[in-house]
Amino acid sequence: MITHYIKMALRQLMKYKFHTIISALCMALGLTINGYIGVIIELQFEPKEKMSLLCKNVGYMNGREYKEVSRQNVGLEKMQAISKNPKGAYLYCNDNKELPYLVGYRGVSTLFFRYDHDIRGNLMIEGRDSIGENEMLITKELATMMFGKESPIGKLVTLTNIDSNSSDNGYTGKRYLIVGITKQVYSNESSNSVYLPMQYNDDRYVVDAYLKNGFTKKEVQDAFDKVQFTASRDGKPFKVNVSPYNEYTPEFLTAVLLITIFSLLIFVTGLINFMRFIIQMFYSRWRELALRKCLGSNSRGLYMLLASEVVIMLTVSFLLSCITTELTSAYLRYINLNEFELIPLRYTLAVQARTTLLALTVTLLVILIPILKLRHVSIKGSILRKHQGTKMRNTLIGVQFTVSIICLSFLAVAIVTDKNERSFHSENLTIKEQERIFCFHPMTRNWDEIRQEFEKLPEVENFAYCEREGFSMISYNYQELYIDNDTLYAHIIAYGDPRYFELFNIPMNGKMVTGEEENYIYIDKKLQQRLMQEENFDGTIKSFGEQKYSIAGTIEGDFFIDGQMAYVDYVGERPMAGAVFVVNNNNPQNFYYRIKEGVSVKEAREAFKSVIYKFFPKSIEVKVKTFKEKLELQYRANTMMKHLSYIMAGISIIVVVLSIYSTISLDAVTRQKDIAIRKINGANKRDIARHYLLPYLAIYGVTFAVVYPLLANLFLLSIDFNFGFTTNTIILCGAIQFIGTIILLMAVTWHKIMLIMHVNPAEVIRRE
Amino acid sequence: MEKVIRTENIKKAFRTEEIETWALNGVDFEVSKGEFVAIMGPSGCGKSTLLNILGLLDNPTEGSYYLNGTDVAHFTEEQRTTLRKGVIGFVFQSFNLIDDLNVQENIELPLLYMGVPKKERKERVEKTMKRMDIMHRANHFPQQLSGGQQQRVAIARAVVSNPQIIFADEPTGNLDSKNGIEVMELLRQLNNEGTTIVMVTHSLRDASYAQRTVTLFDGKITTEASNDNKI
Repeated sequence: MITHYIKMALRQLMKYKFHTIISALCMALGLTINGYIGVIIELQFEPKEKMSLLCKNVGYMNGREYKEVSRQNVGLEKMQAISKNPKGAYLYCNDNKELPYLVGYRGVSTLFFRYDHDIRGNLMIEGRDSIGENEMLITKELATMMFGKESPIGKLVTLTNIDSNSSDNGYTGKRYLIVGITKQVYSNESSNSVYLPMQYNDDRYVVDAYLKNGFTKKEVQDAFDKVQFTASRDGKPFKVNVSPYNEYTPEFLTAVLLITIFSLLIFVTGLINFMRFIIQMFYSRWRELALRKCLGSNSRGLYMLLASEVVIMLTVSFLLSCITTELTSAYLRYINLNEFELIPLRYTLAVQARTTLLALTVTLLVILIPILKLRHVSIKGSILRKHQGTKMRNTLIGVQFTVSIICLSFLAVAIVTDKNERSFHSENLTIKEQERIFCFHPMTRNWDEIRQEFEKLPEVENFAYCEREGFSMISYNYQELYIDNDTLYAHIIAYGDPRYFELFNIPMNGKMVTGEEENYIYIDKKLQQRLMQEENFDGTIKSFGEQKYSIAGTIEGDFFIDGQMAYVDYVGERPMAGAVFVVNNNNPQNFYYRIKEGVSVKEAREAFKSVIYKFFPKSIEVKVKTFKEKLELQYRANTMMKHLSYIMAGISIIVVVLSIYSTISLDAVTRQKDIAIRKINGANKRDIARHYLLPYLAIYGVTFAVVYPLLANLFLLSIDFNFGFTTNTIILCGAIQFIGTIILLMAVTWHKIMLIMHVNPAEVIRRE
Repeated sequence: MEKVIRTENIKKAFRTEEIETWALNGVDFEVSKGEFVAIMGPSGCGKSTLLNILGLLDNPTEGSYYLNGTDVAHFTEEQRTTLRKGVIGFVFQSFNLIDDLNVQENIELPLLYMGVPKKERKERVEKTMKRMDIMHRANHFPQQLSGGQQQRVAIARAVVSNPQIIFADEPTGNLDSKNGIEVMELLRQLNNEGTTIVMVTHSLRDASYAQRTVTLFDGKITTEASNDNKI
């Protein structure tokens, strides 16, 4: 019997080949995108049992504190630690000597690599997962670089300071035995990493642990509060704070939610299209099913018939989605979504398989509706006439339109957000200008000589320094600004060299002071206006902190630095009067060099490298980055989200267009007899197109009128996400979407009607 | 008498990837204005194909077809649709009413596509329904009617636009004898009022209503006889 059902299902699907393919494809795209998004999101979230351990009022634990806490913990397991920051060192291969490899090293707790880390699971590739005294784990990339195909396990290496004048710390100046190969712990760092046994000294560590079964965070915290730890860095007792490993910001959660909804919508569009196809096909066979009932088939038999089609279609969809995943994962690597390099394909496929099962369950439940309906209709009536299933069809079309409106609105969000982001990054510099600026941090040795040589390079047009990393919305800081007895607050954009303004095309009015002249500040327009309101403001000198500063000039317009707009109204709850740039050249940490017009980026990069290699051995990999590359790296998460939203927007458009096309197309095919009768009675192409288009337009019009305003209110306006949506943008997006869909509906209907009009109506009637 | 229909060596081939079938193989056929002609023959002899070509639902593969003196054999789909309006009416064996439309709306359909104003449409539909004795069923849907009533609605739809010719494809094939006779009487009445009727049938009784019977075999006309000398 099963064979009969499968045979019938295959025949039926082959009868509607085109629609079968479209439905399977839409479903496959939905499954693929859900597979990816599911994995990406899973990668972002740590398990809720994972806790972060910090010293109260101090922050990250040092080695000694960790040692004491690990001995006395209650309710926690798998406690592990890794150095907060990597340190640079040279690694010498003892066998073949002279040239060292530049590596970043971190100390880790003994069993760090035995435990799973996020979705990637265990990081160990080969060898021992515990590290003893004078032992080391190295990354696969480093192992290949140093030893080629030869196994590094059992080799002896030496770790030394980069600066030969520095004294060795506990890690450097020692020989280590390589005991294993591992993956990168932090995927966004240099791949040349080594992991050494942690030292119980003052180095800071990121410490985490898992709650034991049956323990809550509160119970563990209470237990810790009762313990008196003594090994604090200043000799005073300290307390331990237990908190969830990741405290996600509302913005992050909203972004995740948006992306999830978007991907689910694509999946739902595919699923609805799929179900509509199955159900419409079912209604088109109403007569056959009634006949089967006459011949003894019970509801179960009819259900099996329909279920076979569902299973076959979903299997095809799943296989198609596997192929799509395989093909698109190469593209995702190409656009530099590095997470994908670390996620084995099987994780994505597992999510896809789960989603397919979900789709199967939902569809198997939905197809019960027509089966139950068939149980209550007269067999004779069903045979004599063909049931249209109009209500259900219209409902599904309405749902499909709803989903398409939401999908297209998300597309608008992606476009508008991206447009804003572009202006965000390029307010002062064009992309080409961003490419012409090279950025450096001080190198561990000979930096003064190197930068002097940089400045003399014929490729370099001008340069500037800046003491600290650019203004960051997360780590901003502010200073009190005194005007006699009144206090204002201003936030510091940067400490640096005023040539910075010229280099970054930041409009400035005032005098240029040299980096050596201190006690000067530049203020922004907002602060200038605020100061002008002050009665005691003499226009020149104000007290700033405990230092007196002269105002050297004002920064015109919005001030952007490192891609971020250095302008906020509040820091915490303190209102900010404006922003200042403090002239200071004592300890620059960021060095910017703009290259001359006509010099290619490649040439300039080589020139910078050649200077560096005068002071460093050639085996050291040197990465010279442009400002554009730096921004891309800095906003990698944003870039990834942007790419994802564009990919999903593209897919949603494909799915929406395909599903609308498939809906109208299948509708036209199943209503051929109706068209034929009208045609015989004198209807021409226009009459029939009008007749068929009007219901679609009515359904779409009603759906749009209900869904879009709701979306605009609930979604686009109420979320404080700085999407840059205004009422005008919403109206414009709505109008474009509405007109676009209407044109699509008209074009598809016209196309299908034209095809059907060429068929002899008498032939259609005879066939039916 | 004026010939409304004249065909010369009409041929029609149906081609698939594997075979070519000639449904009509050189049919020469004439119908005069006001005539009632029956086309008979075994299944598959090409009766319905001929009727479809005569009714401008299909084009012949070869040959000429003159409708009211105009060669329409190679008219485009658009031209055929335009020409059909108000000139030709159809009655089918399986009635072919639209399930979603009630009796009144089904009958109104040809007038709607001819662009007849609403008031006039209403008048003409009511007049036709009275004539077919289905006025009391005006708001019923096809599924609520008997076979005979459905065929009356189909005939009403065919005549509402006052066509010059009615093509009927086995109009009594789905009806019992009582309803069948009623339908044939209706067609005779229409013919008496001046409508030309071309009818495909298997029934000798139905054919007896016609003035002339044409017999088709293997896509060719084999015999033609007047009502008095029918085979």
